Amino acid sequence: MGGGRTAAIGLAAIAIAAVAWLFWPEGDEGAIRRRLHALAEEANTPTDNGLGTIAKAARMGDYFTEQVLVEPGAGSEPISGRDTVIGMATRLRQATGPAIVDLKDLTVEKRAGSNIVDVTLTVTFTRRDSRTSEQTMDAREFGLEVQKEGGEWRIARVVAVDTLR
Amino acid sequence: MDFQRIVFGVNPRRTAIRVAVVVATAIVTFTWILIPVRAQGISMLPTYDSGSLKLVSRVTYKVRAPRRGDVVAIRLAGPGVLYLKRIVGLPSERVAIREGVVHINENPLPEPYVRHRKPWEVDEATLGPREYFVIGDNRGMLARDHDFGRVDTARIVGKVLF
Repeated sequence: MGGGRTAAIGLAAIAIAAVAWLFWPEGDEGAIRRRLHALAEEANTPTDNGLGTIAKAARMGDYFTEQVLVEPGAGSEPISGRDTVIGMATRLRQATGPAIVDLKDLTVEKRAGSNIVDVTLTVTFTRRDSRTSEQTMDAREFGLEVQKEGGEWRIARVVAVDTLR
Repeated sequence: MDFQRIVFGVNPRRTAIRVAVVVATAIVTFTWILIPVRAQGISMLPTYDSGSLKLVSRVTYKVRAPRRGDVVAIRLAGPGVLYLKRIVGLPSERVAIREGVVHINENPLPEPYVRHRKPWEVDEATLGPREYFVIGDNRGMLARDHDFGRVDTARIVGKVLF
């Protein structure tokens, strides 16, 4: 009976810890993670008409600073400016077809004495071939610089990491 | 009382210890010793089919250095997504690909695991002291669709066992 009581107290402690974890106030790291996952979710939302595509592009633009810089990796020129980046991403999506975007291994690290936060992550792109129904997955590693602008965390720089060079 | 006996056993303390040992063993095994991974994609065909389950040993390279021919798991930003590739070039070697054939220090490398070859061309490069050259076994793909190249030792998570 004593052992049963101990186990019950242990379970109750775990339950209290889980509740506390769920309702603990969100810090900067949590806010950035939530923001990036929301961006991925936005990217995965299907659009079926031109107006929807424009609205989606505008919503996605909100996740980036106006002067965002994207460095796609060796052999490709950097792209700068929110409108250019979103325009290119939209055209790329139209050319390659829809893909499910997912974020993995996301780490957030605040720079000392700066309002810039460094994020590293792996982005996976899962596509289904319309002819064969075969599913393929591509993965790419990125480094991001995220900063608070207008009360929201926005991506200021995207660097594609060449895992294999 | 019956419910308690079903959940916690006749001796709850012993049950708790057993559960803790099983959980700790599973965590240690699948975090630091063996990582289960699911192969996705066609770059390791015909050796590994897309969707097949593999185990990666994290301890093999604590005992010895990676060897040519080993299939290794390479981390990207973390261990959540891994590349599975075969080592063809070792540190400080010169690697080139001519007409789809890998050349190490000017000599063609026999690769019995490769079935089809497209005429890939890669200029010769000398690997650094901590670099390996890795490629998937499917050389029937176009080179531009296949991720391959030099990788730092620090990114190699372990050896793919089976």
